[in-house]
Amino acid sequence: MALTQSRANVVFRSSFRVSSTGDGVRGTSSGSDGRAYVSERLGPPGQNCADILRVGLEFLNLLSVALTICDSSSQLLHANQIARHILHSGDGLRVDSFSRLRTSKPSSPVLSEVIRELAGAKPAASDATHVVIAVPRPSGKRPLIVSVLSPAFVADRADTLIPVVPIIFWEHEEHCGIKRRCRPGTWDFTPAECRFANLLMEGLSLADCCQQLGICRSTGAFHLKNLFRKTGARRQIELLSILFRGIGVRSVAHSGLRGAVVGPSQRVESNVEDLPAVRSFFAKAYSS
Amino acid sequence: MTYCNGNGSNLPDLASIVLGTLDFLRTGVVMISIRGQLLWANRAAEDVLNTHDGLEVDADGFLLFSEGASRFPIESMSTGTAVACADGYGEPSIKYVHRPSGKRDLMVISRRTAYFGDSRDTHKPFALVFIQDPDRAVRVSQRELRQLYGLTLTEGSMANLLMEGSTLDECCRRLAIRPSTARMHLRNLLDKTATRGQGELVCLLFRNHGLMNASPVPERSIRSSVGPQKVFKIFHEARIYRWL
Repeated sequence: MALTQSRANVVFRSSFRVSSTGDGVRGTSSGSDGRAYVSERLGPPGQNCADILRVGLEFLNLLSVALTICDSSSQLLHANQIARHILHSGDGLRVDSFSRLRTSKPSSPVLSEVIRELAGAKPAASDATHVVIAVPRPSGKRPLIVSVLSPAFVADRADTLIPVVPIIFWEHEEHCGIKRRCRPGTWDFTPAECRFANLLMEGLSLADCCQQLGICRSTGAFHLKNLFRKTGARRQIELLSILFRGIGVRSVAHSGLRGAVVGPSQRVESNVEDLPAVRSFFAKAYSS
Repeated sequence: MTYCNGNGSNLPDLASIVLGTLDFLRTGVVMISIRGQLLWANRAAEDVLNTHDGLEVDADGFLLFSEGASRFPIESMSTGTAVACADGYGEPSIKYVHRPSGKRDLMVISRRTAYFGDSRDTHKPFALVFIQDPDRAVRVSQRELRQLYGLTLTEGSMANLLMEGSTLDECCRRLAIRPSTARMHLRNLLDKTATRGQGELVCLLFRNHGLMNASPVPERSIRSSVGPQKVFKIFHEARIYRWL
């Protein structure tokens, strides 16, 4: 733990040493960005690891973020529930009969090339922390944005380190907007304004929103004016920016209220069995 | 050939990968114990906590509201299993936390984890806390915009300005370009992203990139100094806080 000792520039209050400007500490620890590292109260490593892992996976589920982990040859080592659901639909990404992660259009080798390249990257390589790929979807939806992250290293049976690449993606169309029950911020939107704002956040124009809701244009303009007043926005673009930043792209507040979006829904659970054999790489992690 | 490690020692590896993934997210996520002490926070949450603006952590690791220094309420969540939702997760409770600096309120959503059970273990994560900072700028890196849509530098800067809610006039001023040039850039932006208007463009950018953090990850340089596996583990375990 010598490493953490040298990085005791903890930014939390009192009993931790607080670096006045951060410069002194940062200078000695090469590459540190001055973020919080706790050194003194660190417990024995790995003791509550399993719990932290479970809850970490729960976070990803609640946020509807799909996580898959592949080795350098695109072999799927792990896929969380959200990922399994998307993989099973085969819309953009799929798993081939050798349990390798593939794009749905077989002609595109980009994904496996990127995975191989990232997995082979030396840890010292400073650039390209992650690579983002747009994967076309046969269903005609907008491309899936797939982020291939920098590799982690895990030990296999022979205790040699192999690089594995975490890959994350999510359903872009799936966005639970504002719900009346959880009014965002101090704004107090009426139900009609919520519906209107949700359509705006899907990218519809004023005219399209009015058509969808079956209201006349002046009513739409009235809603829009009220939304401006309540959020303090002056323009439609600004309104969108405020709404997206205030609510987040995933409004986790609502996931419990509409369980279909996230969480271990039955739809996802039943699909798990149908996947071609996903390697039981991390099976132990789940069973313990 | 099986990768499984017999004694299950891949577990810390998977944990550090999952936690590393959470570090990429723009939403702040915090795990707290049943006593209300911080167990783990991702990068975005640490950024919020370190500013002592709204939410912070005291010397004993308790999550506090900055105003009034009252502790984060846990009691309401710990009253038996009655609060659990049908999906196994706790009923989310939403708070809007006022910030002394005058920025917009933080949206703080907390809910019990599905796995806690009846245990009183103070080292186990008991509740999940999501922190949404409405004033945190959403920026997409130029590299990402170039890789995905083939945007030039100016178009990328303009996309980021539009995501902040700027008008075309403001874009002109900030980028020091003429209105006609700005309109040309906007047309190219819409072309390259296959969108029909500024609104749709902004929605697309938020949906595709609003969840990820554009800031570069510094752990790489830390990792390289000792050797891959060792440092990766230390890095994450160092941030699993334990309070005695």
